[in-house]
Amino acid sequence: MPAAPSAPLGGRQLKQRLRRIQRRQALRAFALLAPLMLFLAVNFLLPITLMFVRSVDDPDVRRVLPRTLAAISNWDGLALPSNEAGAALLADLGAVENREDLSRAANRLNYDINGFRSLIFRTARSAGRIDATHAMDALGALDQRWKDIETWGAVKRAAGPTTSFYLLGALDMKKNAGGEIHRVGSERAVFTLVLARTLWISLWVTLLCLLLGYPVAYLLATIPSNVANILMILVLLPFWTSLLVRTTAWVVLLQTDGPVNGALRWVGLIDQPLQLIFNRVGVYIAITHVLLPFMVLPLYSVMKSLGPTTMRAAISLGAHPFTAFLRVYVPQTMPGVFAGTLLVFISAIGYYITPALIGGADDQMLSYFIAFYTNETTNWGLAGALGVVLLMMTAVLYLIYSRLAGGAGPRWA
Amino acid sequence: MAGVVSALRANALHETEMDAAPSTAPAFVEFSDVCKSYDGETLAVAHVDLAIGKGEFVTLLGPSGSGKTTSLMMLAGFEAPTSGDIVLAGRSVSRIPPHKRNIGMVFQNYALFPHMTVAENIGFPLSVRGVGRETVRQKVDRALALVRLSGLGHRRPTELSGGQQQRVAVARAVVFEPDLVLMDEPLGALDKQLREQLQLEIKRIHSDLGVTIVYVTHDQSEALTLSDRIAVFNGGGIRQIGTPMEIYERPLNSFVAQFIGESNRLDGRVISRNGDRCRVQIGADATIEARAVAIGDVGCSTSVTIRPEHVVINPPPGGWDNVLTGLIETIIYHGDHARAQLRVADSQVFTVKISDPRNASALKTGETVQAAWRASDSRALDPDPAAGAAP
Repeated sequence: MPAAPSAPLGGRQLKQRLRRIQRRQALRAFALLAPLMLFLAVNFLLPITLMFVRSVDDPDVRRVLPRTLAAISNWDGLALPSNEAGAALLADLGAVENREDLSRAANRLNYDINGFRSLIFRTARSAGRIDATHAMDALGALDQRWKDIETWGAVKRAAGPTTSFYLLGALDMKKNAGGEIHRVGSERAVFTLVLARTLWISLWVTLLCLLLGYPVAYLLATIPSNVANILMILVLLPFWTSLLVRTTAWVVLLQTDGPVNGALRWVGLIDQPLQLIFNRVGVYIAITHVLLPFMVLPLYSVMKSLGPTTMRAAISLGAHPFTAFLRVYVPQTMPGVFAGTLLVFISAIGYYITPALIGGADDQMLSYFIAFYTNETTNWGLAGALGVVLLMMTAVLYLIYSRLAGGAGPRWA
Repeated sequence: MAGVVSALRANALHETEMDAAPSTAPAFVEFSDVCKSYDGETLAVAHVDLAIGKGEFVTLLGPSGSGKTTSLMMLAGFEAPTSGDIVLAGRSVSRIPPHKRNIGMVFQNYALFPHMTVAENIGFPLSVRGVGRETVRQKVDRALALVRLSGLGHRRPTELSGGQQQRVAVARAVVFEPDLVLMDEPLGALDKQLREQLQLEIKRIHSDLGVTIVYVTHDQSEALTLSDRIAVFNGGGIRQIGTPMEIYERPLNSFVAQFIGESNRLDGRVISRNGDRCRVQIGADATIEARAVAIGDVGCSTSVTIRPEHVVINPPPGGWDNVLTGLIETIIYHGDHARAQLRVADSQVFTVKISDPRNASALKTGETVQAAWRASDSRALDPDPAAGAAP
């Protein structure tokens, strides 16, 4: 005879069974997530971690000049270091066996002071012939720059193993030989300007997307679905062509002899062709075009769920249709507005190809410089530091924004 | 065929004049031959004439797609009549935009504004009219008390139950003292118990405020409970207008008889006619007597309707106009009453309501019984509900 299904289980036994079932469920959930987690870890977390490390890592100079760094470790940076430092430098440079290491260290010092690379090689070539007893004088005789406190400051700043040099540099700041932080001269202060420009362009693109996308989303959400589907395909069309093709298409359209200028002249609105490309106008047009779907889609999904009755209720209660729209409809779409503006703004902050192809020299955004330092000068420390600044800026803005959005923001914000 | 239809109409008019007390209140809302078409081919609302007096509670009752909601939307101003005219308080509404009609409206899905508190929701119609802050506060408090939600003004609509949300919607629709309140299936989303409770509240609010209410529902018991008068819609037109008692007791056509409450229908042919009575042949060898309400000449087909509660099983002999022999198919016990389902006259189904269910225990399935009723309780109507639906 089978046991009755309602036979009471002992309290312990029931708990054990429950725990076993929960464990199995947790395991299953983990197994389903594992491939994506692995993918994210390798392709997302790892590069970001490496970027962080690169932005503070500084191993090159300490490998080549260990004695010099030891000699100036207690140097106050107010006057030239003692003769021992010079002797240590000569000893270090004379003892270099690996040209590769020397070249790296020279590059690193060159990031700090332009021309330091040639100074290092020149000094290294003469190192064996200089008498160490009057090392500082001899170095000064070899090259005037060794008499400059900041030259030695650069060496000390590169002491490693970690450095704030790149991160400060990304914010247009620098430590002097005495260890005080100060702003670099305006002729070298590029990154704060670029950062401000990046935020400014992103802000305008976001506003343009909102202005253009809100009516479109409203139309899509309120017309019959068969027409809405066709229009939705048009909205999504940018997703189906490659970013590069779209961007170069804008170059063709917006150039001086392009169809846009042609049409405007034909209509008689302008006499001279407008400069629409390789300037800010072109950048705004192209980025807005690319990011518009990211605004329309969240707005559409929120508006689609609203339906006409709250508007109808407001109108029947005596509100002018425009008042009803402002006081009843728009507030209910705020979750979509917050989600859309957040998506567009954060995407715009990282734009690189579009401004590179369509913008002029004064329209390049921060990502362009990250790419430049990564690919062109292989100054990965500065590239990493700029990346960190961009990431931090995005995170801070996101926090402020989600605080402002409050309850109206999307749940995940 | 035209003769038959006009005869039906003549009969219907005759009875209306006899039985229905003419409405003495001056028309506050008046539909005159209103038609609405969406596709240019079929009429969603066909030739509706309807006069509603001030302070009246009128329900538009009908199945879905019968034109009742479209009529309400035309009154509210969200749809425009294709032809005909609607007059509200002496003015044709065709030129008045919906927000200037001074109509409060309650929707089935509440349509509360989720981003506003309950008090802000109720205050909305006042604030868009430029009423001062302090007055708004007082009126909102009074409206909250009216729907028994005092003290909940600071809540969000989503923090309230369905019934409470609908009370807020009602308060919002009456707080600005509108001339007219429209309710579009307001209780459709609520469960039965809550629905009945809110029906009483709406009735109370109606008598407290004396406001004119036009109420749309497909629930006939709700219509009977609430209304001063009911307009039964089908196929885009009004099939009958009258007080709940008129509609229930004296349906003028088969559609109304079948739609409101429960009716037995016996199909047959008129074999003789004598004043307001007629004799109808049902099946091969049975005839019954009924009120001649909406029938054609002798020889026309007809549907005779009898309410199940007017039929008696195995009655004491004598005094019955109609007695039919039937076979009991099922007996269903309902607690406060029982129902027996019979087969009578060539296997037409016939339901009898037994008011004391203890009497039902004497009956057995398969037994042959006598079913009897008075001729005055049965009404000979148009033969087919579909014919009743034609304009």
